Amino acid sequence: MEVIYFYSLCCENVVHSSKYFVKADIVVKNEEVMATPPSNLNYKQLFKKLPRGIVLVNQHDHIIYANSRGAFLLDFAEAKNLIETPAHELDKSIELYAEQGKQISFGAIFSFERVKKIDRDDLFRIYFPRTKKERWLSIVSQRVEQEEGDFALFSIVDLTQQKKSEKALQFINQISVNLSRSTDYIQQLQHFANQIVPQFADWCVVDMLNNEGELQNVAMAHTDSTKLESVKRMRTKYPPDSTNKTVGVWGAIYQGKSDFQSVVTKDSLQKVIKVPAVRRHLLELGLRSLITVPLIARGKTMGAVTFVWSDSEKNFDAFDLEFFETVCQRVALIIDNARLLDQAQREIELQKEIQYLLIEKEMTLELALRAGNMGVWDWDLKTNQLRWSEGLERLHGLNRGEFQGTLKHFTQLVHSQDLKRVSTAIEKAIETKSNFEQEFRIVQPSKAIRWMIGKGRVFLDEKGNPGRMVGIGIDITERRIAEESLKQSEQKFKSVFETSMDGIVITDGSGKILDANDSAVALFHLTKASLITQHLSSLIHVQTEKDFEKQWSAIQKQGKSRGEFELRTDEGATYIEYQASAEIFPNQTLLMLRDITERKAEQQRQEHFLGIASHELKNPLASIKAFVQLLRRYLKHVEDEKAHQYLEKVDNKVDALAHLINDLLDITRIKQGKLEFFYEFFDLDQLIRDAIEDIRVTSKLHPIRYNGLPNSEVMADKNRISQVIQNIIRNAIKYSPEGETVKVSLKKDENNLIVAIKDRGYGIPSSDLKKLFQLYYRGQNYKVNNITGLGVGLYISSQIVKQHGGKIWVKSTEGKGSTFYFTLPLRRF
Amino acid sequence: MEHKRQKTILVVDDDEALAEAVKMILEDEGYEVLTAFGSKHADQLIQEQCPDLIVLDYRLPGENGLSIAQRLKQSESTQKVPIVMISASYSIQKPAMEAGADVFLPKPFSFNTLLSTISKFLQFKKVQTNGASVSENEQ
Repeated sequence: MEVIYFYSLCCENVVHSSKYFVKADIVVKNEEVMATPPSNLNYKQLFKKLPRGIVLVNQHDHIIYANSRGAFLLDFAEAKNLIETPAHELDKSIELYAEQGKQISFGAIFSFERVKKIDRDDLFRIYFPRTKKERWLSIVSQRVEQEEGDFALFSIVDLTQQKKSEKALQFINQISVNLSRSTDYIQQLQHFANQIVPQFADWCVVDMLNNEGELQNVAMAHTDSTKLESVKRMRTKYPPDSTNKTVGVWGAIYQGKSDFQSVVTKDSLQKVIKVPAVRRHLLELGLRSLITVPLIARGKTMGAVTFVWSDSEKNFDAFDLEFFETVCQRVALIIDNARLLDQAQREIELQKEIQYLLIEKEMTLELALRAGNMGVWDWDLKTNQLRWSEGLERLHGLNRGEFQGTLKHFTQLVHSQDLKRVSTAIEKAIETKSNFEQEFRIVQPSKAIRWMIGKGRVFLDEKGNPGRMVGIGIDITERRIAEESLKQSEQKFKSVFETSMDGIVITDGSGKILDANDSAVALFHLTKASLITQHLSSLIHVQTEKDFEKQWSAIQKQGKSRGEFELRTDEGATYIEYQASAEIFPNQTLLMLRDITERKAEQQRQEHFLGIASHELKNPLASIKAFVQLLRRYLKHVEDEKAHQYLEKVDNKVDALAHLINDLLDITRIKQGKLEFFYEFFDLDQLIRDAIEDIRVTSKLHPIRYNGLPNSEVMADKNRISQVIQNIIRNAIKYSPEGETVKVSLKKDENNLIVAIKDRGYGIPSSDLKKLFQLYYRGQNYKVNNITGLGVGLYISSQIVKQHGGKIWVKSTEGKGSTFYFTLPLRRF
Repeated sequence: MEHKRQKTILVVDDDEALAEAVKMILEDEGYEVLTAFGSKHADQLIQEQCPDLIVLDYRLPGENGLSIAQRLKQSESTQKVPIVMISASYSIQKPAMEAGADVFLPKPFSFNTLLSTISKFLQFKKVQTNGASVSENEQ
């Protein structure tokens, strides 16, 4: 019972939960231990087997007993070598340090006096200069009172591993904290390597896999800086052998687990390293123990860390392996986090950048993405990795993930005719650290050709060199098609514009000439350079300037108009006819110009001829008429009826001839659009009365009755309206048997004055009614009744009435007579 | 002008026969008539005789009727003298009125029309034969 009790006491004292050190309290009271003293033999047997060192010291501080574990811990081959040794003698072979680092003598620790009756538990580091080893020991001391004399019991526990763990844990925490401080993982890894050396290894090498799957040395540390250089040289010259997938860095990466070579010998190297030079190098560098641990995070191997003991003549043990694995697991996680963070930041940056590029393009990200015609790219100039968004792949006709992530693949997709231009632009952007923007064609796998706009921005690394390009690609095929067709129609228009026989001038809203074709330039007798920027009005003759200005405002208001003007030029009178439209281009007016000087001259010649003709024909008539009238006056008192009759007939025929000439001239003018009117206010009622009086003089056989409407003021051409009235009345007389009355009436409705002329004549066949007002048309019955005429009177009358804004029509019953109506608007303007 | 018994009319026309015929008719109606065949002679007569009305042909050798009318209407001493513009060309009506003519008569005209027109301006004498309705409705 007692033995077991004591044993349990000891055991309790050495229990450690996990590998970490935990102090156990001594709960046993001395009295209880002493109450059941065990036999010597039993003690010895027990102590021998205890997994802890036991050292007993007498009152003279001499070691009186040590078990084998105790001897081992103090680096003594056998326990008997310790017996009878004064405690301070140990100082000769062992350096003892307090936990805080102060060196102390064994005499001070294995001291009977010091122990007294109080239990003590202290932590010490001991160093063995001979083997260069060190050990952490926990020494629990206790006074044991016995009949033969009291002694001190020291129970020693090896806490080296625990202490290492503790240190390792501290290191890991420290590394975690330090690494987390920086976002540049290469810097982090170098820092990590620096912390590993020299505490945990003599060298530390960190290799990372790049995007191409190649191994890159990113960090290296060595206790000896000169050796660091030679390690570096060797690594550069002989990078880790990627064909050997079982050992070394590649082994760790491929296998996903650590490569542990606790003791490296010449022979073991021979098996692993095939190149003799490397073996030699490694041996020269003193390689003796090696651990390579893969860096794995989220199931992905990122690289490996190699730890080497060389100069320190140490060898890694299982604990070290576990420690490094723990550290590397932590490091991998931090690096992965850093990378993710970096990536996330890049994404954010990218998003911002895209936003920026889009804002510049006056598009919004949302809009472009929604429209599905945009993709994003991100090109790492250092690793040459070109990342494409899924959308960009789709725009190139590729399936998700089909883009190989290289510039080369991109250039394969660009249309061969655009490739050089695009490549040059990219190179230039990188070279000048400026923005990239190009429109180019791409050829999809289906051979379909699409237009893209690529926009990118160069980002500089911390050294100010181009490190990265970020950008967007937008499918602009639709826009290009629209632009192309616009260009084509533009070209068509341009060729029409250039080659047109008509002059074409484009002006702004004020009339300033923006462009003119050759015909127009010739028209103005100017050079193109001197024509452009001039105002149209400055080219127009003062005589026609006002008219043109009026027309101009009409063009700007109504969109189009036409007219003519005379040029202000020294080249002689030049008349230009124009057709203008302000509806074709916004804020611009297009004028088609044609030189009508010749036509105008011809017209003037005609007019002149007509003028002459009127004079030459009518002037004699005027004289004849005057003298006939004079003659009739002189013969007034002469009783010769025949003479009077003859003179009256001459007079009437002169009038008839004058009317015919007038009619022919009128037709010519109507045809030329030159029938002009002189509008004035007059009393239509009075005008009708005067006209009737005139007719009565010559047509005495037909009574004319008039039902008037006094004070019927109207705005019209008095003489022309009189002409219409007389024409219709004369027709009525012509187509009526002698003695039949012609009734004329004037009425008014809300808007018009209505003149009606009614006869009781032969009437008009209904087949004639529609054609009655046509030129040269004569009713079917004129032959029957032997009626002379040209068939122009009603045509002229209808033209006059229509141009006054009135209407003319006829109602007729054959055999009963006709009624002609015409109206004049009361309010003309 | 009220002291004058007879109203004086100046007839300007290069057609001498017509001018003569018009002169005879108008004299027969009691007017004093002067004739001129061109603008120079007309100007001289206007200055010397101060006619009460001018019958002016459009087509004249040298300065035409429109120009003369314009000139007379712009001059203070003659602007109140009525001008009856006559022409064989109907299209002269508009420019004639714009030049200041008071009335336009196309050639050939009947004497009745001429006389009624003149009498409207001079109110000197009733026009004979068929002129009743005209004089009744004087403006």
